[in-house]
Amino acid sequence: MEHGSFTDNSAATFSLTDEDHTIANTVRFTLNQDPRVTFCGYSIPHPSEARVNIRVQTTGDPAREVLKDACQNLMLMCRHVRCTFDKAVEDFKASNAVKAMKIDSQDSSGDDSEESE
Amino acid sequence: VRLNEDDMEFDMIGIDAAIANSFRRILIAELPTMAIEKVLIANNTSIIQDEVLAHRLGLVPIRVDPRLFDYLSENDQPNEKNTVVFKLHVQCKRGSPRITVKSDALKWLPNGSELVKETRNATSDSSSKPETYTYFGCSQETIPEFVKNPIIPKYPDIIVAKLGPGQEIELEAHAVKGIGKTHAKWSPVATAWYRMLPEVVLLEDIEDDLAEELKSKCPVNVFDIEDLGKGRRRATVARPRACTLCRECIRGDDWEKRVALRRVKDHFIFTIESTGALPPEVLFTEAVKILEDKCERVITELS
Repeated sequence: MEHGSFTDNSAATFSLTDEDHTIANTVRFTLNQDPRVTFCGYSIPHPSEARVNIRVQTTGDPAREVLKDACQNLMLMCRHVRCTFDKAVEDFKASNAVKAMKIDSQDSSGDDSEESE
Repeated sequence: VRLNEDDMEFDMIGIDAAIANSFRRILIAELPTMAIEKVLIANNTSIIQDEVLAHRLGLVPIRVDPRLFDYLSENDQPNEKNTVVFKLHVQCKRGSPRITVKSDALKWLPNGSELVKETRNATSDSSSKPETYTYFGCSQETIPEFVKNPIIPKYPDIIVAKLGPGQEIELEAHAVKGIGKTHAKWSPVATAWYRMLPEVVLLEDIEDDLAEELKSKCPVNVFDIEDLGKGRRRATVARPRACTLCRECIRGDDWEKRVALRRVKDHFIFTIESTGALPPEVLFTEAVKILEDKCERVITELS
């Protein structure tokens, strides 16, 4: 995974190898949420080759830092999702164990995992 | 909402489509599983060709936790940390009727391969035991997780082959860890999908006869009638989740002005059906972990 940058630090194209839409779209989304970013997008030069180009243009901050922050935000989001999901599964199993005594089976409260952005 | 041993349905609210799609892609393609990769055939006199039999064996799901194993790469030797060995030996005697070989005929060999490799050493009798195709340091039975749960195929009634009288199959199958990207046999989910919650909005108050008509139109009974008192009735949306967006309720003359069908942009209803190696909630947790690991890889490459 390399990156290619220009003389001006606030705009850069990062080229990641061995990646595809799975991470590129998610990183692009988190970059969009960042107010310092003026433009961000990703492209896949050729579908047979596992390479992704992510373009970031910012309002002055070095693009590298912004990308790093976006990835860290994404990691925090993932952790939050995981915690909420685990808790919800536990609650569901607990409430189901109680319901197993009764005959009817209804929808229990939906397992929600909420996020704040 | 629903959680069984094999499948699960849950709601995710507040997340974005990009992340939901990433989870779905990782669940299908990048969660590791164990599947049969190498099949060493000693004898196959059945009508099923070798390669077809090997292909079918590869697709059989195996009930073993892939997190306990390591990947096997080209230069490694197959040992107890990265291979699971199965044996299949079925014979149909002359004069007896045809047999169907089902997946429960696969027997787990915790001590490794039993097929002997042919070595051309001059010192062929100096080794105390013959060399086989795997190098198991210790028996896999000693690993605590396997003491009570022997490794077997998840579904014992998968038909693998059929034998006529006098035909025999004797083979050894090695299962290794892999991900769905390389071959679909390593995908841990039968499938995984999500849909967005439908939102049905009544733009005007719909009363009396129109309400009855609306309620009878919907094939899944999304609407309900509530009484307002004074003998008037009004239609309400009772079960938006069940709506299949068939648009039956806006067919007809003026209905488009009264009912709006939309999707809630950030409410996803995920359904995960596992093939059995891991329970579905564990699968989802692993998928989230894998996304985190990918991010971390990008971060470390950047700095």
